[in-house]
Amino acid sequence: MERTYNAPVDKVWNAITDVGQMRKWYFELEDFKPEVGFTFEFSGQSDCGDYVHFCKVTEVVDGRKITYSWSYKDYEGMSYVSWELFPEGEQTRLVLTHTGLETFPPMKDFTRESFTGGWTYFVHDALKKFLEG
Amino acid sequence: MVSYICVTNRLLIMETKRRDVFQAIADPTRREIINMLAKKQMTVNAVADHFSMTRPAVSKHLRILTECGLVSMKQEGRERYCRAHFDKLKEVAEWVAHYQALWNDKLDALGNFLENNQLK
Repeated sequence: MERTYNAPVDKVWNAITDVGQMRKWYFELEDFKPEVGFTFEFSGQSDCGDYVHFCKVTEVVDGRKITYSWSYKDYEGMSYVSWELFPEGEQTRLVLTHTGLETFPPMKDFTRESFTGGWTYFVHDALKKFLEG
Repeated sequence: MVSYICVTNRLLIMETKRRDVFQAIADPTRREIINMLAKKQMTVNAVADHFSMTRPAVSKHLRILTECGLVSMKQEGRERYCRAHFDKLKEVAEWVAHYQALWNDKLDALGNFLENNQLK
């Protein structure tokens, strides 16, 4: 997924790597350090139940990119979330990539929406976007 | 992937190759096949006629789709019919939607945070 923010790249970098700032928009993290090998855990969203997430920083390109593993306590599977920043003048393009989701057992305990007529379109659209980045 | 089948009182262990659904739908031709079969079941020939590629190529795609349970084939007289199975796809769609929603929320929240913090 991609977003462009009206903020310079170092501001965005701080927002995604400084724990004090992260707590304000991300998850309630006890601590975070943009260092390879740093591990952290947190409890997930309430709309999908309370899942404990296990994460470990695997890649850091200072000021530009950070990747960490993302897995769940009590579930098998391993995924990776990567945040990459591209300065564009006074703005920053953020590219978020979450790979490895296919290794998780499909989440069954969130509300099932009933898809009617156009659901195949939804599948193609959403999945296509997701698979093609 | 190993499947277990109970036959009378014996356990038969069968080695089944199950394809990864994501891999299966990552291909545009296979998505097109699913799209067609979403409307109605079709014979293998009818599916193949829709594409300009060779029959073996289409068969390969159909095989991948049947291996992961998205499509099933049934012999009816002289023809083989294919039909799509939506439960698996629906499961996948909901699951992907969950992550999309999660990340959309977080990226929105980041945007709000950055906007409010610009006042420094």
